[in-house]
Amino acid sequence: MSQILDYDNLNMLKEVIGDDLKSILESFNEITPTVIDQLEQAIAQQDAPEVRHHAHTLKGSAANVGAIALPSLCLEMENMGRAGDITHAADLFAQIKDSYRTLSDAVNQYITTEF
Amino acid sequence: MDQQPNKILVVDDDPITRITLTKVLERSGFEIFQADNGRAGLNQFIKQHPQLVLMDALMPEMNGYEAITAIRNYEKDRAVPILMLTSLDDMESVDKAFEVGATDFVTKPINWSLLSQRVRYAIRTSQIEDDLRRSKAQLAYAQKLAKLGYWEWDVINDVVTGSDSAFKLFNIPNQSHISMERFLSSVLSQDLTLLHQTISEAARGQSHLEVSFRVQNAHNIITHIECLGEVHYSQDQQMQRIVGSAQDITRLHKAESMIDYQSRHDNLTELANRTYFSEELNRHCQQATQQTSAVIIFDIDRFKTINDNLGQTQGDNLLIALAQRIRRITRDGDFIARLGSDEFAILIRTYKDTNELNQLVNRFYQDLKQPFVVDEQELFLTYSMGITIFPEDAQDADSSLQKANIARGQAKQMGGNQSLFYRTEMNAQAKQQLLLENDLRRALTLNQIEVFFQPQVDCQTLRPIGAEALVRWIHPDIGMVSPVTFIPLAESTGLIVEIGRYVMQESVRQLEKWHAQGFDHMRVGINLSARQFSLTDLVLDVEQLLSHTSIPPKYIDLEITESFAMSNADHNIGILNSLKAMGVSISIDDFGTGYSSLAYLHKFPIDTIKIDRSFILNLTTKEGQSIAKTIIAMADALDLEVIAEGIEDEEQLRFLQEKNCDILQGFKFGKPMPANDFIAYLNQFKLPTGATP
Repeated sequence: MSQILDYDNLNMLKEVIGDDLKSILESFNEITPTVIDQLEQAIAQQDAPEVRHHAHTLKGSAANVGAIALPSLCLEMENMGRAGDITHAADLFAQIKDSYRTLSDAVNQYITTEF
Repeated sequence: MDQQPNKILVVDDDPITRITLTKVLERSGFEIFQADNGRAGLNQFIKQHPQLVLMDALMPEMNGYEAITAIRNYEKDRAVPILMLTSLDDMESVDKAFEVGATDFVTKPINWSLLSQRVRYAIRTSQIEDDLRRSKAQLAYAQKLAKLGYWEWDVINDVVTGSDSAFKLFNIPNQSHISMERFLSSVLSQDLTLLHQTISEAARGQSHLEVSFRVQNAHNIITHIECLGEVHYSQDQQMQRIVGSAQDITRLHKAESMIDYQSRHDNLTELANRTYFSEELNRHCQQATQQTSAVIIFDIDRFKTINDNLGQTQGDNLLIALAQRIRRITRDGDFIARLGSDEFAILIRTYKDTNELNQLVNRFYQDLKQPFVVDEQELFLTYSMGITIFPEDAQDADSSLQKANIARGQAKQMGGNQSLFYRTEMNAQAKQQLLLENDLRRALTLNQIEVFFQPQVDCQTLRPIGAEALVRWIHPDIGMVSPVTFIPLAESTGLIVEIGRYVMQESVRQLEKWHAQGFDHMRVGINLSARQFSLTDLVLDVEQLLSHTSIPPKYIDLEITESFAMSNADHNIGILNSLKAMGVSISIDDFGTGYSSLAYLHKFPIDTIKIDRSFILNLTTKEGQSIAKTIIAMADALDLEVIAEGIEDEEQLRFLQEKNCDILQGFKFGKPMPANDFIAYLNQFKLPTGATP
């Protein structure tokens, strides 16, 4: 199974900020569904700039918590938004949603095991 | 680290990144402020003055680039480090970030373990840069303020390097390969010796330099420079390098010279003052003991009155003009000064013989007497001048000044308008004069001042028609003091004003008696002194005199001397016209002794001229006769009355009767006598009741 989370990065962060990492990860779980919803809405409304914006945000947060697959999917979506062509965004969005679900599980598991 | 935690502003729209950055940096001891878009970031930046900004690129409202641009525009003098958060895959945004003024960038995903280090490093670098920029600015400012430059001389290779300001001070372009000789090429040649001397002292081991000198630029402007330097030597004591500063001390120098100048010069005329003159005289006395030298001191006669009449400003202008003239008429070696208000001094450092000194003094005096034009009017000044020569009269500065001053005082007492050489007896005279002066101050109140009357008679009938009032001082110890002695004293002390008033009042009081006793054709002649003309409002005095008497003004005859009338003719004509308008009679006394311009004489509102007694004495000679004849003829032509003074014998009387003189005065008819004696004299001429004289 391909790696979902960059554990080295997470551990490094944990070394720097200790228990605070837990709250960051919890915040991630809390906030990200909203961002995904906003992205979905933007796609539905065919609002390319908004699509770009939310994809960018999601890319950053995911990368921050050490996600490996999700940021690259987000970058693809971001590029679509920048190009202004989001006709095929729905497919990509489905992948993003899947990737997030896996990521979210991994994050939850990390929280449970590490804290 | 500082006591205060460094503030960091995190601007990112992604809350997770923001929170993570915050947590990470807080752990490293930073204080974090957050903003979720560019506009909020700029707002926080202005409020918090962070030491560093972490800025995301892509944000709603205002993106990172716009925010950086805004921050850089806002804070111009400081370069707060701004780290742009950007993806490694987005090189385009990295370029754009640098373009708008980002300091560095941090790639996402962020390497958390390195973040704090990078942030800390960026802050320290910027603080060092800031300090450097500040101190550089301060240094430049300080150097500019102090006009300070630094320079360094590589002695071995003979190359001078230094700051632009140093080169500017030395008036040399800041180029490479400037030798010391070239570096010093604008220094005044007189000061170069001093510099060369300083350098050779440095070579001999004098490791601290301090030297000041002058530099002249292309416009001949002189700058005073002070150089401080440290000399560096090799182990074998060879001079290697001199490192130093150069400072423009022109203003300091000017201020010092100014203070020095002001303490030794008179502000108004810019001549040397008394202090400087004494110093210079002292120096001269000590150095030139074998040389014959002279000190001339003089002041303006009646200056106080002249000054009062002119007013402060014109009075000052007169003194300035006088100072300029003194400068012009003195020779190069002479040292001139203004000792006091209207008192000036000239040191004649050397002269050949007495003859040359006499000529010099005479020339000065004549040049000084030329009129000054003040307020578009010609002003004729006379002076009282005293001269000491040394080593003959005095051996030191103080006594030569003092003795010149005594001579000047003597000249003044003799009526001014003259120059006198100091004589030993002047010292004694000066003392006696001082005693006399004190006595004179009390003379009026002690009734020692008396008015005597000398008869004047009709030339044909020889009956009295009037008298000349003559003032006498009866001193309790000395007896009768001659007016020749005490009138100048009264004039120089100002006592003449009171004495003059007293004489006028007493004369009129006696005149009233004569008239009351039937001699109602009698007149009285009252002498006015020059000083009375200038010290008091004579017109007012005479007006009061007339208002207190019933005697018609025409019986009062005011006499002024010819020489005085002519000395300030235009001014005096004005006063005489006013007196004349009140109805009094005016006489010119001592006629023929001074230089009278006929043109002026004609302008004077006079009624009478008095032929001086010296001409009467000379009537025995043909020449004397013709002069007397001419004066009488001239007076007749101008319709003036003539009084002849000093008649002592029959021959004189016969001559004057023949020539139709009008009035006679002299011992032949009566000496000056006290008031009571004069009444007794008059009574001899009393006619039987009913008869007319």
